[in-house]
Amino acid sequence: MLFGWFRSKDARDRSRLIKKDREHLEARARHFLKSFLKADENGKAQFYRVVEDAVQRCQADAGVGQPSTELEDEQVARATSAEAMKILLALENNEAGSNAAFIIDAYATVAIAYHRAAGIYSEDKPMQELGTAAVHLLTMATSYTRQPPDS
Amino acid sequence: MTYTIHASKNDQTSVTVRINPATAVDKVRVLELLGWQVHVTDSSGHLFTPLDFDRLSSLACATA
Repeated sequence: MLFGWFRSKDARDRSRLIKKDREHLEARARHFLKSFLKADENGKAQFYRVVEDAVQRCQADAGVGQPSTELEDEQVARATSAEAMKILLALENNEAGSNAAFIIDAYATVAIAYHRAAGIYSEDKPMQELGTAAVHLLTMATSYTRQPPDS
Repeated sequence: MTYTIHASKNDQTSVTVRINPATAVDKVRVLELLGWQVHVTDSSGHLFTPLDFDRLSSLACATA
């Protein structure tokens, strides 16, 4: 009975997070990913850099950026996503400049990727697919930014 | 064909096996996002590093 209560609490928690993600992140992340697909090689490089910067900032601000961290993967993923959401909401309140929407969309994509990695969307196929695409972009960004400059 | 995912982070190692290249790529990308060093080997002995994961994805599309 106790196990059932924990399971339903976990399901309610995931459901609440998905609702919030749909409200604040989904449209922005879809727009960002579609724009990425349409971009040429130079344009794609900008996407890689902005998401990589967003990940670095989220992990540093959430205190999960150190490789020696003792946190479990799910905790790291949840903390990174929560920080991306926090930054996104702050940026939305101060949105200014032509590049602001692009940066905010990048944070939405990062937040969705890390919730996907934390397993939040396992029961929600559309969000799971969106998350998978976001994870793919983030790993491409990591590979891109780790390449030696002359390659 | 089976795909073995080798991952390491902070002195931890993990080995998991998938029979579908699409699920292998999915798993490996999530691990990579979470800071694991990853590579994949298939049952023919081919090695896929992160730079080859797109090739593994193509394989997944071809077998879908």
